[in-house]
Amino acid sequence: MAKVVDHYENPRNVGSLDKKAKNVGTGLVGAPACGDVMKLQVEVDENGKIIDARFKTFGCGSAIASSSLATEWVKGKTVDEALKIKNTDIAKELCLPPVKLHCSMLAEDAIKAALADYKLKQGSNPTGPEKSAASM
Amino acid sequence: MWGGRTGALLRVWGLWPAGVLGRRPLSCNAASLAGSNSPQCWNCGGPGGPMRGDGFFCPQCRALQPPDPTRDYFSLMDCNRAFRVDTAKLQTRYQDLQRLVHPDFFSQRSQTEKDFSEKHSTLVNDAYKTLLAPLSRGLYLLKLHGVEIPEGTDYEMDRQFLMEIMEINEKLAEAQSEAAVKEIESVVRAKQNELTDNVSRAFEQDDMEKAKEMLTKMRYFSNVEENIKLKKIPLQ
Repeated sequence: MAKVVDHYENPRNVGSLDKKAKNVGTGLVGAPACGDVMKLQVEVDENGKIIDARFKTFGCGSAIASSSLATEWVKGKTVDEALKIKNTDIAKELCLPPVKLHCSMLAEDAIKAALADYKLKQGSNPTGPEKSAASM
Repeated sequence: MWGGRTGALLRVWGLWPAGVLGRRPLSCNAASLAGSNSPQCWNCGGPGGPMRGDGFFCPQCRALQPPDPTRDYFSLMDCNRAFRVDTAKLQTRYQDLQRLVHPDFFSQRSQTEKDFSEKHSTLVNDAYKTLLAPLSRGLYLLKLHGVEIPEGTDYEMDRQFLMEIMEINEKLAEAQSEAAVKEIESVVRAKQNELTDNVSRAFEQDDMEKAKEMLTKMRYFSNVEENIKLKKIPLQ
């Protein structure tokens, strides 16, 4: 409970990255049942490591806390490592009640959407950014 | 003596084992009740029970009966089961019903009737609140048609719409003046009015999927409206 309140009252990494930048991936997701919207962005370096992350969430405290935690967790991870982050881990860390589990799912989906957007921007090369730089 | 169906009925109405049966004369006969098929007044055994239509009171002893659990809000508020409602008529109906069932009018009556009146009054409040606002009315109507908006991430909503919602929310968060907030408010209100018309048309055409899509969009804008209300507080 304290962790949710902390991430809600002192959210980390609120803000935006330049969505036009080639190494920035932007994920935008919504939850129709409660009308929450979540934007999560990642900045990836030439080695495929996430060096910065920002989020903006309009919705309930659990959604804000989940996305705040998500941005903290993706920093320092590679794209593939970040894809492994599960909503259940987020929910467990924040001690989310069952009724708010979908908020952590929204955060997981936002991470995946941001990384998918980043990969799309790198071109169709599936082996990662270091190779696509060479193929350009 | 109070086993079987009669016992079951009394248990459902919260009257047994510890219930009070009221101060009115008890003229019921266990034998006659045990074999009956129609609901009976908890007080006098006459033709009562959760009444169909607006008969909230037993015609025989005038005791307040429990609410009919099968009655939907449109029926209770005497509205056609449709998206368009006459809100003036709805308000009148709300006041008329509360004059009949509000707990204030049962302060001198039995505990059973007090409990029933509280249930009736709460139901009337819920029905009124749900049917008054287009979003809740539309969602309720969808539910009656067996359609609900699922929990979880929206994989169907177009990105453009989500961006629009995100931008309006950001603009609202950054707004520094009352005028700026008012401008956003009028934009959102116009969107809601347009969506309300779309919802109405969808229901008229019996297009539940379209209604669901429009109501989902209304839900996102409704959250913006809540944020506008919150934003206005310190600016006053």
